Amino acid sequence: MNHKQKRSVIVGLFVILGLTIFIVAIYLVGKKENLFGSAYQISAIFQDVKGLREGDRVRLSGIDIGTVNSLGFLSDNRVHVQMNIDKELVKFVKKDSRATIVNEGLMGSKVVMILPGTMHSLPVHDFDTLQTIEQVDMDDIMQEVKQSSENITVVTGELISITQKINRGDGIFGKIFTDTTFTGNLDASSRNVTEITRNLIEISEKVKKGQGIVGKLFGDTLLSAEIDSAGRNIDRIASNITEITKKINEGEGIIGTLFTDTILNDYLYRSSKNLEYTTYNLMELTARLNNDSSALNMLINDPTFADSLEIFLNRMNAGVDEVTRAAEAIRESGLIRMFSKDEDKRKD
Amino acid sequence: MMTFLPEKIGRFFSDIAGIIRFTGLFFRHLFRRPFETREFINQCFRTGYQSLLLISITAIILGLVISLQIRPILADLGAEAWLPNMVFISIVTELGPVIFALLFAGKVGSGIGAELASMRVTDQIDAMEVSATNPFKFLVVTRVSATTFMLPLLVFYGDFLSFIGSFIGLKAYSNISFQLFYSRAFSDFFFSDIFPATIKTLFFGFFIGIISSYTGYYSDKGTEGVGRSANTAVVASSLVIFLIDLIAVQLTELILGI
Repeated sequence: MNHKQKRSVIVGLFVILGLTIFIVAIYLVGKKENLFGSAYQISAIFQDVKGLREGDRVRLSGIDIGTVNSLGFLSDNRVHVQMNIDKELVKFVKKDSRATIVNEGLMGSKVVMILPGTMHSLPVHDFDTLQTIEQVDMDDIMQEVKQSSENITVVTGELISITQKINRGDGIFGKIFTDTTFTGNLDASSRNVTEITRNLIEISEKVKKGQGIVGKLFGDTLLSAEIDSAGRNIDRIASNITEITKKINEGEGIIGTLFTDTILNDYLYRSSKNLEYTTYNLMELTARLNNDSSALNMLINDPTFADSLEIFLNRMNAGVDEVTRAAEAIRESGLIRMFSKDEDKRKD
Repeated sequence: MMTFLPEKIGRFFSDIAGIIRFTGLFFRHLFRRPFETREFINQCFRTGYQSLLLISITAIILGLVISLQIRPILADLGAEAWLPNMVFISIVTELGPVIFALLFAGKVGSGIGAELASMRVTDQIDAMEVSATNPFKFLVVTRVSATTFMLPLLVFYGDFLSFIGSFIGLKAYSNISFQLFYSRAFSDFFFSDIFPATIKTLFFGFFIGIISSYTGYYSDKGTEGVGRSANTAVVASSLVIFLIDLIAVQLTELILGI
């Protein structure tokens, strides 16, 4: 091999080695971007991609399974994200898997995270679209925190005013904490309560022993039996009353008719009208009796008339006696007896 | 030379025009037969292979040093895990291409400038024209092609060795496995990092070749001219590297929207 041939060989080797490095580098990057391996194209539609870029990773359960292929607006606030997913790994992405965009680190690089679907769900196909979950933004969280802190400020302000009122002695709580007379009353009350409870204890002990009426009530079995039978009687009475009222409702008996029979009501109404008329007449009569100088009025009002009437009646009584006696004498006489014989016989 | 402008400024603009014309000439000759393949391979050997040692040492040290420099800062932030991809991305996208291109300009650009200038000084170029060999095709097209294709390859090597160097640097302080280091380094590494950097290095290599060849090819007569050509080749190439880098960053941003 001469000098020039040697140079050619060296240059050839040099070029081949250099190109090999280049090709290997391209292969490594391409492998990472899934450009040479066959890949499935899966889509997801987000409202906000939060700065996701083409070439960003797609992860499933923490393993990189693909890359973001393209991003584009679908409509006003819908962004279409197309992803290349490794064909070998696409079977782990189920139809009910959901995609979300998360931060990869603190520095702001984004990753499409695919949340695993259910076991029994089918794997995705080429050109399928996954459902998405919009991740809560840090700004949203800060907004919430701000709102909460504002609320806390308001609440603490209220608390301050309440405690100030308590310190001043306003309201019940204020009294509790500051008013000594109130606490004194409270103390007395509690003492009274203690007394009452002690009494109650005593009473209850007496009751337990069967002393007094209440004691009997609890301890005497005879009394309780009586009370029980009384109760039962009352129950029976009540049931009877129920029955009676039922009958009344149904229109049985006089009272029932009274309450239910409309014809009777009509009669009653008419009777009452007649009664009213009668009483009116009576009233007139009595008035006339009071005022008139008729015989009846005299009979009622004139004492002299009454006296003479009494004398008359006495005389009448005496006359009647005499007549009776005369009549008896006549009856006893034989003549009369003879005529009245048949009648007496019949009587016997 | 135009008299209404100061001589240096006039020379600067005429050089720019000259380089543009020179680039046109290069492309005109590039696709025309005969191809100087043997000379091209020879130039590849000289520019590529013979720069390998320089680039390798620099690359390992670069990776190591950046790792060691950044590690304490990231450790303070609690983000030491980010070191591999941070170092790797910064080397692949920016530091590697620029530093290796500057080294390449220093070593190869000055060589081309000096070589062509001395050939011009010693009338070898004129002699070639007489002997029916196209000196532009033989000297310039092969060299510019070689630098254009060799620099990206050297940068790949450099990046790879920086990666190793960075691992060594980190390994000295923490018990990180190569597997983890590799996966971390590539975790945020995309095509949008590799391709712009590679295209950039193609331009670096091309302009190093063109400028160095131009300064040598149109060198002033005399030994002083040789020195000046070598010097101008390195200085102008280095400046152009940064200018291209500036444009590349903006173009990348514009095209990829990063």
